[in-house]
Amino acid sequence: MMDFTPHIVAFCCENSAYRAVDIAGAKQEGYPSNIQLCRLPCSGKLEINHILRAFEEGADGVFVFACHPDSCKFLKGNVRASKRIEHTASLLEKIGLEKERLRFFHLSELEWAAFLEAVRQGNESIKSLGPSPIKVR
Amino acid sequence: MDSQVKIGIFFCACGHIMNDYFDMKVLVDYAGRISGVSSVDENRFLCTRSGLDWLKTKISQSGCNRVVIVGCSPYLYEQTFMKVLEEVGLNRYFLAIANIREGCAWVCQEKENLMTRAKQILSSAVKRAGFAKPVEKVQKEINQSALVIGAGLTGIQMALELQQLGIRPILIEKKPQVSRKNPPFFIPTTQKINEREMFSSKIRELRDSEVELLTSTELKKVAGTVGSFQVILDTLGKEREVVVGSIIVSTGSESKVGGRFADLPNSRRIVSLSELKDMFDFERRTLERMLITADKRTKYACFVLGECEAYTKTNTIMALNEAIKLKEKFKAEVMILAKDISVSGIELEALYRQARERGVLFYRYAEESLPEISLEKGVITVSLTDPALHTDQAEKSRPVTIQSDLLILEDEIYPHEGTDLLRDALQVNLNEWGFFQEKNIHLKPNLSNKKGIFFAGSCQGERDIYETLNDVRSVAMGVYSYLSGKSLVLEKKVEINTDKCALCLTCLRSCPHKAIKVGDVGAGQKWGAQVIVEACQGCGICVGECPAKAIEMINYSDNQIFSELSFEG
Amino acid sequence: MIVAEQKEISEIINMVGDHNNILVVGCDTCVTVCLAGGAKEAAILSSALRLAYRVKGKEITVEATTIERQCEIEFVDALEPILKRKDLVISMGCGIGVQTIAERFPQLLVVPALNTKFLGLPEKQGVWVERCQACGQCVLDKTGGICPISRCSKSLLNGPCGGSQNGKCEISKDTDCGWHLIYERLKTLGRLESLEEIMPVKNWSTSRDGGPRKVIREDMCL
Repeated sequence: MMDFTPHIVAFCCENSAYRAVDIAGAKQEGYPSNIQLCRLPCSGKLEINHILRAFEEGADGVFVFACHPDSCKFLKGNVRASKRIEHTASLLEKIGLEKERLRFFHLSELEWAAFLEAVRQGNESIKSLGPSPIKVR
Repeated sequence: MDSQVKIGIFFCACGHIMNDYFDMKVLVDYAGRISGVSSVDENRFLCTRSGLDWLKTKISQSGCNRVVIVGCSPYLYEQTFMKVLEEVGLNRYFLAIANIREGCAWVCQEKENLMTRAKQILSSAVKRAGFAKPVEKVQKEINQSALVIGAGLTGIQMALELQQLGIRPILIEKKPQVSRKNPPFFIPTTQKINEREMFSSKIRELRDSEVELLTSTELKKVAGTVGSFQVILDTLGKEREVVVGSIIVSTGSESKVGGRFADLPNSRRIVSLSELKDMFDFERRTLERMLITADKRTKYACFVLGECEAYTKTNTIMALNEAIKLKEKFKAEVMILAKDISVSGIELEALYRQARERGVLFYRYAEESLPEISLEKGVITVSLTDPALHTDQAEKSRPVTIQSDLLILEDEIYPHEGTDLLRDALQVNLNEWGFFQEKNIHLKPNLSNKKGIFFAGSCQGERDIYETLNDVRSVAMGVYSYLSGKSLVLEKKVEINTDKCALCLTCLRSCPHKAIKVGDVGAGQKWGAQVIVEACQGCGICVGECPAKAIEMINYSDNQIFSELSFEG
Repeated sequence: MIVAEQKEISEIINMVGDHNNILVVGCDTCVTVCLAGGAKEAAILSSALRLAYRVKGKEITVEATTIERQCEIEFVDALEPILKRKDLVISMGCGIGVQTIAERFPQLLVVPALNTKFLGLPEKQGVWVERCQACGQCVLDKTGGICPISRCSKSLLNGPCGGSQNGKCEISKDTDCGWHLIYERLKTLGRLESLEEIMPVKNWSTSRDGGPRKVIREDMCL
């Protein structure tokens, strides 16, 4: 597979991951700059068509960052998100997109290092999948 | 995007930081060419007083009606900039922040990507601002009073503290009177405070205060929201309505012997920890008959701990307290059987040491070999295997058999009867053990999922006295912070389009804050789901669930989310 | 309410075939409530179809819209302006919706995105159960408000068969025996004696066996 820079959209809950990303930024450790952030009030707000839309816009991968199980500020938004993502992943597979292009992570607001780890490793895994077949027209 | 929209972009150089990373001229030039942008300005330090004044003047001069700030993380100054927008007469949500410092400058290790990412962030923010719609504000008048449910130690202390803060408390109690025999609370005896005395003095304090106390009274129904809850109270079948600004649940808990021993045959010589405690205060004679006899034979009292599902601190405190008392008052041989004695609590370790010094014997048993209890012809026999008691390494531990004159079993703590009914009336949540569920165990440990409804004391689960009093203080401050002003400003972030609503009830079922009601939207209009602004926390879960796309979160509309998904260049 | 379920996306893609200008029509009534074909599902389906074809290297146009009730000609009329140049309509309504659109626009190919399952209710969020088979001859008065036609696997009328065990039906341990429920209900009502009345052989002609059905209310006809 040729080396390419994937487009990745990361949906982040503003109560956890979005803050972790912020801290990661302030630490100036650097993370793949091809990761585009989308802020959400809670991962439970994320809809299936937002994820599909990201792929339509040309994303090679979509990451969703939610709070840890049992620590959603709104009790169960993260649980709903994880179920919705499971459903979306199976839909992606059926329409010919690798389900590995959609990844779900749990993160708390102080886990900036875990965020770095997740995006670095996630970035590599999307790279190894190659460009999204959507982009090849 | 609306053609009336004029977006003003304001760059903050953050001193020199941005110039170190970006070619600002190129960025400013790029910004000016994005459609909908009416003005682009630069400042060295937007977050300073002079910077903010400059921003205010510039917004007014340029006549822009949406603002994009290009600078640092929204967590730092988003609120400050929102205030500026309000001051110049714009809605505070007409703001978007392009975070090119934490989100770009300090992220990109490959310098060649810096400008691309910055442009990307900038254009997303401009689109986001372009789609911004106003979030309405709702003002509510505040009633400076609070309803306290349950007149135990927690409830009484709660009412007294609120009174001091100038909030009029109404204290209700299900029982006909505030009873000295209310469920016990727990102070290690090392503290030299008699808990019954302490409770009595609180009751006296309550009588002397102006707190309105309603006994034989239960809560029937609650409507309204923080600042003005309309509550229907039922006193012996007579209903009356009161209006309060806040509600505090302090219904406490109940305890009874649980676990394996719940079914032991009835015997006067088998009691629970709380029964023993009551016997000391109210039935001393019975105890004396059991533990002091003419023949001067040593009498045995045996505590069995660790049978409850979860280790409970209050059981440990009670067992140690009562063991010391039995030892002192009756010179009995006292044994405590436990899997483990955990002493994590104020003064608990000292209490444990005191018990040891007084000669209380501690036996340990393992999870695999739980102690057995048998009761034959009035003789209680407890047998256990203590792993520490064996003669040599190879041999298995010898079983220990104790014939006990008094057997004391652990209490298991349960939510008060009627907790379910109260939950339904208040529309709050219970946790998996049936106690009241706090909003966030770390951040909001006493707040319910509904604004203005608080929990204090052991209605949330086990509490010792220190924890209870801490609850009371923090709830009092919480109530004060809601009710100290004249009016409350709420934001209407979620809107339901009743025309699209299919009345499927999905939002009603999925809202974690019970902030949706379904009914008549207004005279002559059709039925639909509605958001209860006062209860809504703005999580957007209902928006994610709605199958008709009838619900919109105004500051996170689909268009705004989509504007962050497209890739430039 | 009519309960429906979305077809597998692969089946829908097969129906789309070579068409390339498609309208997905959701319905705002029953299928929105049963979360199968409302505005959100219509948006997801159209996005998924566009993606599926782009994976194959083909660009197709898929638009989504939703109408109040696909089973009313007047509401279906509203589709007319947006149907221009469309070569396929995917209806996310129940079977009635698909047919109403097809009837109204006979020159257009209309295909279903849902399988219409039954008449029922949500037992809880996300779980729907059958309660009525529209047999045209209601006996709920005799059976304590529990329908033997839809809740007994064999639609028996005079008590359970030998497959009823511990309150469950022999077809699955998750299926209640309808007649067990009826018995328990009548016991609670103190009306067990009504079971002694033998129900005559059912006239199934009011159900599907009598051919396509029609209801006419003369006084309502304009």
